[in-house]
Amino acid sequence: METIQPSSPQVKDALKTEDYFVNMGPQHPSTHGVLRLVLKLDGETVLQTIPHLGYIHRGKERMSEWDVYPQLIHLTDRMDYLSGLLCNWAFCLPVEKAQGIVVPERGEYVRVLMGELNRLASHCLWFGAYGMDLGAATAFFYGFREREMIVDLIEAVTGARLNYNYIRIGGVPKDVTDDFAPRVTDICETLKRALEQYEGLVFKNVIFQERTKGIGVLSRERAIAYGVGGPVLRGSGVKFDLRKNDPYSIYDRFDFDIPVGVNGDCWDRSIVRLAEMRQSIRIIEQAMKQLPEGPVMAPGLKAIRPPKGETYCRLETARGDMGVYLVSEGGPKPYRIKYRSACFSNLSILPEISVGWKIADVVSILGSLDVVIPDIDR
Amino acid sequence: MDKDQLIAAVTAKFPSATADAGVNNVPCVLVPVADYRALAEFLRKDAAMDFDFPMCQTGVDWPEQNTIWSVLHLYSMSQNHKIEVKVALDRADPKIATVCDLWAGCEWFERETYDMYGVTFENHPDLRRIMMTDDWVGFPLRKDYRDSRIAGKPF
Repeated sequence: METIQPSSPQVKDALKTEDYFVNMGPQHPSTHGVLRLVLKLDGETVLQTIPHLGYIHRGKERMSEWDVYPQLIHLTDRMDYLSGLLCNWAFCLPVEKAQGIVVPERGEYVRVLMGELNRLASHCLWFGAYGMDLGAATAFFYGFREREMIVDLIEAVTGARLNYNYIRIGGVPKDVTDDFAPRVTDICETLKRALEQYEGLVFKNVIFQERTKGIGVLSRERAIAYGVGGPVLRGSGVKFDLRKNDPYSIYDRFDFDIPVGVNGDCWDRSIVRLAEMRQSIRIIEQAMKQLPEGPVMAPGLKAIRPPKGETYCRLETARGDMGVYLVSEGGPKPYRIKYRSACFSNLSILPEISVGWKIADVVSILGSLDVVIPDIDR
Repeated sequence: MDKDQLIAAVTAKFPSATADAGVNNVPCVLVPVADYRALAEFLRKDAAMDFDFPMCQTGVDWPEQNTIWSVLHLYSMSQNHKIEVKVALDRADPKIATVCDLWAGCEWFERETYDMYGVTFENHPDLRRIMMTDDWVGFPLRKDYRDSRIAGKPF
């Protein structure tokens, strides 16, 4: 009888692999919502990723043509619901710019303070959820412990825990509470200690490092070409932050650094977020020292009717570059509003950077992009 | 470059373009559809322009003028300047060249504009609907779009 060697062509022919497709989502815990990824696989290795969006598309751009400006702010909360305050702000910026509304000093400071607190809360949640994605369930409790303090404070000021509707055209509707200052100090001090714990618990953990270092590398050039923003862009080594490079509001008055990564892998995107939290604490501490007295809302605002024309403004949310393009016909309702969301652009790089990795790495990459699905679909 | 220099540079190179100062330091350039692709290449590749970051690409529907705008917002990381490029398209058959080989991020932006306004981007590698289902009828952000879900809403 003839012996068949394992290297013979017959064996190779009989054992060849075949590509197949797997649906990840729309109901999958690591997609953080209803995102469906169709993965073309060879064994465990991803050959192609095809994202299918739109499972939670609510047509907010169309809805924005139906109501008057002040009644549209609450729609933006429900886009990036983890940093809703910053989305409120992004909506108000072009309206104020087009109509020439000047926000009072104290109003701007309250916006910065609340916005940075919201950014911290969002990053705390990212820390917990990312740990959970990678199998570190403990991280979730640590992240939520600090987030709870921040959300409690935001609730005391705005009356809501998630959908704030707090930043209005012309300022903010209500001043901060009397016990705001000691509570902010308490949060800053607690967070500084907590960030060290986060580092020790997760970032120094060898499993976390193995799961993130070198995974999903996004080069500097591709990051810019795709128009990604926030920690994803900075993780790729681009020293760019809208608060510094294209400053809005009063961000040019604060002294803070832009943390950047080196390689553009999941690890860099993660440590950039952690470093960014320290910078947010710095901004909050400076803003508390400078906080002036006075009104928080522009006086005498009656009709919000931006003059005929187009305005484009952008703002740094917790996830990146959010832009609002406003076309006004001079009426009380916008003619057209386009919400350019950060997560939409951040997700668009996924097909490129997930090729060649395993399914488990796709979870790691997706978590490091920190996408919020309602922000993508709008 | 400040916005006056930007406008001067663009209109010198493309006499068919009309420009206005716009709001918020974003100069606005309106070009005929035939020059759109050439202008995009100029903005991307010229060293003094160097627009490398796609901020936004979208459409605006104007049923009374029978046009749909394609609006492209660009930003330059190195030069720190912005520009808005507008093209008025025929509403009955809106067609325009793609720019997603110049700015990769425009691939999804253009898919969304196609999905919402029915603008066809020529030479786009993957022009499918992105938000709505593949068998959706109509273009939801056109002003005359109606369906039972939004009946009774003001238009």
